[in-house]
Amino acid sequence: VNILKKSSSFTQPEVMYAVVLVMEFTILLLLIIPFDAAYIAVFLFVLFSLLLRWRVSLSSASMVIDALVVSISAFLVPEAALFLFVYVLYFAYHEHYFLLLIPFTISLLLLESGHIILPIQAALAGFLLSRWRSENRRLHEENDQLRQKVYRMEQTELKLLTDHREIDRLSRLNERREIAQKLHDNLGHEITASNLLVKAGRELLKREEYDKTLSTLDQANQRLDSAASKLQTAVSQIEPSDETGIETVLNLFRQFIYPVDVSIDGNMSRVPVFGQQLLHIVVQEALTNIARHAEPSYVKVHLNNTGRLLRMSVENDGVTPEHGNTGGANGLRYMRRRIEAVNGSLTIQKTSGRFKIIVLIPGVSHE
Amino acid sequence: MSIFTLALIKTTKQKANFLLVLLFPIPLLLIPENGNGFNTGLGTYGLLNMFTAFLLCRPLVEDRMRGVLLRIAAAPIHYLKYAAGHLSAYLLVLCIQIALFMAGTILIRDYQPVQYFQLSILYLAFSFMSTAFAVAWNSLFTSYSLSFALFSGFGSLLALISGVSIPLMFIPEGLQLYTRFLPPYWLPYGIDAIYRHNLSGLVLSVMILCGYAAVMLLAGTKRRL
Repeated sequence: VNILKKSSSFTQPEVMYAVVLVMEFTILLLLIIPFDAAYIAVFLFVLFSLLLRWRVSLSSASMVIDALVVSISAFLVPEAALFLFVYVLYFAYHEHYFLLLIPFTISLLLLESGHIILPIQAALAGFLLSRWRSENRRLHEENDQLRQKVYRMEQTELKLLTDHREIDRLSRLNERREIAQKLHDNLGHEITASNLLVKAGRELLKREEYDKTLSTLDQANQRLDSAASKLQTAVSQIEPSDETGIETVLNLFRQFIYPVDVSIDGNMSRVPVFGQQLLHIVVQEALTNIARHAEPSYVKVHLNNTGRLLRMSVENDGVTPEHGNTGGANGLRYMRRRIEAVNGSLTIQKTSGRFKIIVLIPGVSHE
Repeated sequence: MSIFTLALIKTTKQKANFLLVLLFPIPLLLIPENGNGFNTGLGTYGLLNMFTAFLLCRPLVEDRMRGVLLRIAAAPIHYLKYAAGHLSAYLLVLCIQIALFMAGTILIRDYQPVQYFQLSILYLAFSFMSTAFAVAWNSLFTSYSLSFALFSGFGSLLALISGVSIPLMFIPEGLQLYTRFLPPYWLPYGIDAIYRHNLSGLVLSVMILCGYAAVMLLAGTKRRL
């Protein structure tokens, strides 16, 4: 609405131009009293040419014809040269400085010395008014541009708000999907296996094969223990950490059951909250895997924030492939998904007696 | 139905227009001659012509007041066509008035045939100016009543000092030098020129009247919604 809102049809310089014209005409009429028929004829012609340009959209350069008519009549009736100031004012106002020279020169040639002030005054007034009009036009254009800019920003803000709401909705859906997937992947398998083992134990008990029953129930018990453990892990992974500072991550290393050799490069305090939280989850998962499946003699962690990239490597020498292929695989898969969701990457290097995870998270530093 | 026809019909619906065209010129014919020119009624007719033109232009103002112009602006009719249709209808009515007035003059007076023709030309130019003047005047107002009230005073004064209401010879020579700037002045000037067989004077007065008419038409026909 603001953009479409029109300003008044006449700008201030245009009104002032009309005022100057009326004033000059009044002075002129006072000068030529008593009126002669020739004066009146020239006066009407000048008035007509001005009104014609006001009513009809004609090129301002076409006024030169009218100026020439009055100039020629000025040679026949010298007093008609008094009217030439109108054309001087017109050309000066419309910035036709070359055309201005025609009526201006003829005025200077034909007018009495006392009246020469008229065209000079008109030229000066026209020039000043044209400058004012140019400035006014420039300001109007700037004003329009600013209005358009504000309008575009309002539209962008509206779009961003809509997008934000949509992303919020999608992220909630995604989170639910991940929880469901995690419960299914981790717990579903263990509970189903336990259920089958219990049923098998029951059948064995009916056959009175007590040793086998005991063994089967032990397996079921192990499965349920594993399920309980995985449930705890899943809950801890799902539940957001209250502490998000980088210190919390370092606390994880300090409180770990094995000594951890931590080295840090770059300013870790510049890692934003979402990066810290992600890092926390990844470290937690990596350390849990080590604690559960390895018996390392050393654990080395290297953190490096380059500004554009956060790199973390966790290395240990206690890898046990038998255990590493079961529970640990799910944890790593979950970790990989989390990292890939932010366009990061997770690499696993497994060599003889050495297990290394390399995590890359891009764009984690504040601008 | 064209705009011209519509404007003509609207004009004929006003009973006062019949009086102005058919009845009011008759008393002017009966005004005696002053001995140093045509009969005074020929000049006074200018006043009647001015007021007739003003009253004829009433629908133009009323159309603006009633918002007809706004509808025209939205319709596929150019405003110039609308204005030209109305103005030509009013001019036609004025031409009828002039023709009847001249016919009466021919019956009552005994002037030279060429002078009747010249008078008709002069009256036609004056009617053109009167109509344009009425349009320009009315464009300054949004209420016809106010416009008419002010015009009654201003028009009468204009006619008085310009030598329309009273013969030009009664206007002081010094004042005439100033009243030349007023458009109605050129009617008695032209009548005097015709009486004195001064053709250049007649041409000058007709040209200046037409010039005033053109200027006032340009100013008055600016569309105001």
